[in-house]
Amino acid sequence: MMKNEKAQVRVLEAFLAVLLVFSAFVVSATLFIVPEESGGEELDSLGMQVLLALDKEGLLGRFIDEGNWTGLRESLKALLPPAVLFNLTVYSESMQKLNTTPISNQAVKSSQVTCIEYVCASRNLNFRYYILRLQLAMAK
Amino acid sequence: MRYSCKNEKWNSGQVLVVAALVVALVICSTTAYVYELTRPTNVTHPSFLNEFVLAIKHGTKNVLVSSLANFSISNQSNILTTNLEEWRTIIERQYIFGKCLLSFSPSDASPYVNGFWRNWTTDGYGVSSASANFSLNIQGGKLNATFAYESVVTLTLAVNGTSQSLRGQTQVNVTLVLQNEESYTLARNITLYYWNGGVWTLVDDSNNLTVTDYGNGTYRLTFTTMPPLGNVEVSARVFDEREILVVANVTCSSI
Repeated sequence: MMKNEKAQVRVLEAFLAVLLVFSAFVVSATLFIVPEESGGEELDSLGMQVLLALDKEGLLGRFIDEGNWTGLRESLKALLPPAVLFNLTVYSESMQKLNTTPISNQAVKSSQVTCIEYVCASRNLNFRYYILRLQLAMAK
Repeated sequence: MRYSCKNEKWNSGQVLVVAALVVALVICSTTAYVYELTRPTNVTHPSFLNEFVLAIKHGTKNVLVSSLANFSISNQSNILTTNLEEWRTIIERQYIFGKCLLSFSPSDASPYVNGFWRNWTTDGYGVSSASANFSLNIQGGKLNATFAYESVVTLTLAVNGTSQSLRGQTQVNVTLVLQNEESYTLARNITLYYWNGGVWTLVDDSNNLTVTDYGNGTYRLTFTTMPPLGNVEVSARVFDEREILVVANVTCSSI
């Protein structure tokens, strides 16, 4: 009877040991689950390139000076790939939101949204600058 | 003795569990160490840095355009320095890659004064230009980069023309060629005057004005004057798409 009990304890101990080692593997495996590549850098870069292309000849500043939000939205639509969702917000020097209508193609509700900030100097006779926040995400 | 033996046997089971615990800890810590080593660090993307610098360069050029457009109509010579000071303040608030320091100096080398050069001549050539040198320093983490660059904005106008007497009036043909710092450019607005009896007279529809736009920065304007004049002095005032003004005068010789 006594020997039987001891054997049971041994089995339990062995089982506990195996469980410990196994759980170590499980914990290690979960540690190695790297967040899925969001492509955030590529989106950042793409967003910057689009804003740079618009700003090169002063078009970006002109759209904002004229309050031409439709023109700005259509330009972004034309320059960004269709699978990229965007939402642009334009702020004045005192961080007042300027765009009266949304400058976006669809609501950006992805979990992986990248945001870039761009300072745009206008070519207006009276020097002005604007702060642009462009949110980008991949459509699912 | 028997008790001791029993105790040893009992302990051997505990040793097994402790050993398993140690092995588990070793596995976990090794994995954590390897994970830390392989985890991508928050390194600045070099191409994104290039884009950031390019954005500042574009902005700088826009400031020059704005200042030159203002100077060309107002003659306010300190406008470039004032605008660039404001631009520097904005840029130095940007901490995307670290601390940004922007220094500038408007060109003062001849023919520039306070960063501007305006030469509106009477021999058929006019130029409006702005120029400044910049040094952008970005300091952040392991990054310490300096970018020195020059920004120039120019608009030039070349005017030539002829006049000829036709049926009791003078027909004047004027050709304008407009160029910016890169290539030929288009005009947003062209205004032509001619010297008539001691005053500059605006050329308008009453002068049978016709304008031919060749689409490459070249414009041909034809108009008539009454009473007939011999050589006709013409003044052309042209705004480009950036609202920069350039003026050039020329005498259209009679042929």
